[in-house]
This record gives sequence, structure tokens and C-alpha cells, in this order.
Amino acid sequence: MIVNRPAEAQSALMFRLALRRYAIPLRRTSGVQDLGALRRIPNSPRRWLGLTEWSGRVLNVIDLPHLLGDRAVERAKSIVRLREPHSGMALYVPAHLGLTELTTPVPVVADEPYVALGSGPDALHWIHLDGLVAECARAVV
Amino acid sequence: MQTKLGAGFLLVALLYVGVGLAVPRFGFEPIPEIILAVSSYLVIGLSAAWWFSFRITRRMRELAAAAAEIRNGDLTRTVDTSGNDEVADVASAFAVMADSLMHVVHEVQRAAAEIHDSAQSLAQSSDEMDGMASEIAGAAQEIARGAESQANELSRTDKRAHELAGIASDVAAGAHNVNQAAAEAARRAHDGSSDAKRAADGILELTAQNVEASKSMDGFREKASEIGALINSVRSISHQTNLLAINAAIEAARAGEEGRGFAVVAEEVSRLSDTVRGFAERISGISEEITDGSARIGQQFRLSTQAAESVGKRVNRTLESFDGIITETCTTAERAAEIHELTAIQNNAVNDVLESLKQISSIVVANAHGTEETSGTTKNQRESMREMAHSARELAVASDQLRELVSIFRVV
Repeated sequence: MIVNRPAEAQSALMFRLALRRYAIPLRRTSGVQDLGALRRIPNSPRRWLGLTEWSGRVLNVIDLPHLLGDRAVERAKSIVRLREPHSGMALYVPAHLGLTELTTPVPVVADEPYVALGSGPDALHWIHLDGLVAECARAVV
Repeated sequence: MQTKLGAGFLLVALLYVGVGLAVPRFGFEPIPEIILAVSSYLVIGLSAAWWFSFRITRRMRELAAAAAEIRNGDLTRTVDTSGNDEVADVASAFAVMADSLMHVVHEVQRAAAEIHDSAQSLAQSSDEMDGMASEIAGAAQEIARGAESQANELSRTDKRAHELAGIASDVAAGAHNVNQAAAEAARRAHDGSSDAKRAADGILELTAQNVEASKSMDGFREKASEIGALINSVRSISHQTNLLAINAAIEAARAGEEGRGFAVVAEEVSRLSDTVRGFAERISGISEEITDGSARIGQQFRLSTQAAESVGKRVNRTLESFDGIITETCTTAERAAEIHELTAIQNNAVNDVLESLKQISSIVVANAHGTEETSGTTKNQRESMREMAHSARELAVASDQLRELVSIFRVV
């Protein structure tokens, strides 16, 4: 079912993986930095990369390309820390990050991790961050 | 004989007288007296006639018997030649005749035997001579065929000798050409050796220049690598600047309307960071191309140096080969000169052989003609031998017949 509603935020964090361009609402993030030391957890799900440290706090690092079914093409190893209610989680984004502004409403498609804004190879795909992170959090728990 | 006949007639006459005187003394009647006288006369006359005839014909019969025996071939029969009358003379003449005849027959027999033996020997010799003549004729034919074959062989040999002479001339000409070519090759080998020496010097110089260029290219590549390291620093700075701008934008978004101006600045900084990043990527690409190109050029210089060294070694080997070629071509020229001289000698020898072959050919032809004449003569001789053998056989037959004829005479 498709429901049209206004965009959650005008500013977005944008990046490109191998297949598509993606965008995350900027107001749902609390910061970006390079991935430091990563502690991997044995027998953990593939989408959960492990644990890292951010300003004295431990964060769960989620493999975003794996969740999106895409793959990285750059050597960049950035993580995006999420804001409440997922402040203990960070998304691993192996791509160059950029900023953009959205003026069109974003459609929400149930049970889909993202929705395409536009068409063609340069179409921007808006990530439904709550559902994606919640599912990932359940898997981590 | 006349004396004996006279004595006999005298005795008969005396007997007649005695009978005429005795008969009348018996006193017989006239008639019986006459009859007695006549009878006595008859008896005396007949007896005297028988006795004379007996004495005369007895030896004649003996001669006749002897002649008959001689006629039958018994020449050994002897006759009584005693006496001095005509019969004795006849007997003596008969004995002489028989003896002469026996001698003749004996000689004839001996001569016939000798003739027979000679005829046999002659026939045998004729047969043997005929056989020998046949063998001589066969041999003469073989010689004639051999002479023909020799003539053919000599003709072929002469042809081959001419060909050999032509080949020897060609070889001499070829050897002369080889001599000249070897001299030309030696001269060119000298030129090639000089060029190769110059090429070796040039290659050494090129190798040295390549080594220097390779060193310069290594330095250039190191500088390009330093540029790449600086580009990495610029890329890192751009990345950190971009993260800083994004974090600033996040903080501006959290601040709401108060942070909008700050968000604009953060966005500009992020865009500037992207621009720097783009330039860094372009410079990095160019630096990588320069590094790769300098590496390829350096590698090409090294390969060129290695190739130049390899070429230098080959040129050195070429120089050695040229030295060997010069030596070998000089040797070849000498050998070609020797071959030329030897072929000239060989040509003279072949000409001598040709002359000898010509003489031999004439001799063989003469031998062939002689052999043909010998063959004809032998053929005629064979005919003569056959005729002689035939005559000898006929003579043997005739001698046999003569021996058979005279064999009826027994001489011993």
C-alpha cells in the first residue's frame, strides 16, 4: 500500500553504492565519522558488523549495504550515528557522503526498506530508517 | 723233260722189242701170238703213257693245288721245286711268285692296318680338331660379342669421359667463381666486421644512455609517488573536511531555524570539499598515470638496455662470426684455387684418358674385325675338318675293306 505524505525532512545525507543512490534524513542522525576499531561478535548475523567506540560510548555497527542488497565501490569506511531512539546504533556506509535538500514528498511503501524518488540510474532512493533499524535491532537483540 | 721222254720212248721201244722177241718163243698160234703181242704192246704202251702222263701231271696238279690254296688265301703253302725240268722251273717260279705275293700281301696287310689306325687316328683327330675348331669358333664369337660389347662400353665410357671433361671444366670454372666470390665475401666480411664494430660501440653508448635515462626515470617515478602521497593527504583532508561539514550540517539541523545560516556554510564547505576531492582524484589519476607511465618507460628503458646488451652480445658474436667468415672465406678461396688447379690436372688426365680410349677403341674395332675374320676362318677350318674327318672315316672304311680283303691271305 502506498501512502503519500510530506517529507520527514528537507535535509538529507546522500551517498552512492554500486547500484543506486540513497538518502537518509539528516535530522535522524547525530554525526558521522570514520570507522575506527571494530570488535566483531562471533556467530552474529551478517548484517551486524560488530561493536565500535564513539566518544567513550559503545555503538552497534550495522552493515547498511548488506541490508540494502547493494555493495560498496569506494574505500571510504564511514559510519553514521543515529539519533534517539536508536542512539546506540551506527550505520556502516562505505561511500562518500554528501548533503542534499528534498522538496518533494516522500512516499512510504510498507514492507520495503526504501522507496525510489524518480526514475533512471540517478534516481534517489529514500531509506525508511525506522523500519530498517528496528528490524536490525531485533536481529541484534 | 725231253730227256725223260726220250728215255721213256727208248724203254718202251726196248720193251716192244723184247716182247716181239719173246712172244714167238712161246709157240702160240699166230693169232693168239698176235693177240698176245698186241696186248703186250698195248699194256706196255698204255702203261708207259700212263706213267709218263702221271709223272708229268703230278707236279702240275701239285702246283694247281698250291695255286688253289693261294687263291684261297693260304700263302704259306710251299711247292716242291726240286728237279731241273720245266715243271721244276714252273714250280720255282710259282714259289717265287707265291713268296712275292706273300710279301706283298703281308705289306698290304701291314699297310692297311697302319692306314686303318692312321685313318682312325685321323678321324679322331679330325673330330677333336672339329671340336676344338667349334670351341675356337664359339670363343671367336664370344670374343666378337665381347669386342662389340667392349666397343659399346668404350663408346659409353668415351661419352662419360667427355661428360667428365665437361664437368671438370665446369668445376674449374665454378672453382674460379668460388675463388672470386670468396674474395668478395672476405672483402664484404671485412666491411661487415667494421660496421659491426661501429654498431657494438654505438650499442655500448646506447646502453649507457639507457642506463642514465632509466635512472632519471626512476627519480621521476619517485617524485610522482611523492605526488601520489601528497594527493592521499589532500584526499584525507578533503574527506575529513567533508565529514566536518556534514557534522556541522547535522548540528545546524538540530539547531533549527537558528542554524540555517550555519547549515548553508556547512553545505558550502561540503561542496568545496567535494571539489577538492574531485581535484585530488583527478590529480591522483594523473599522478598514477605519470607513475605508471614512468614505470612503463623505466621498464622499457630496462628492456631496451637488456635488448641493447643482448644485441651487443650478438654483435660481438657477429664480430666473431665475421672473423670466422673471413678466415673460412680465405680458406675457401685457397681451396677453390687448389680445386681449380686440380681440375685443370684432372682435365688433362681426362683428355689423356680420352686419347687412350680412342686408341683402345680402334684396337677393339681391329680386334673385332680380326675376330670376325678368325671366326670365318675357323668356320672354313671346321668345314675342312669335317670333310677331313669324313674322308678319314671313308679311308678307315676303305682300309677296313682292304684289311678284310687281304685278311683272307694267311701269311704266317
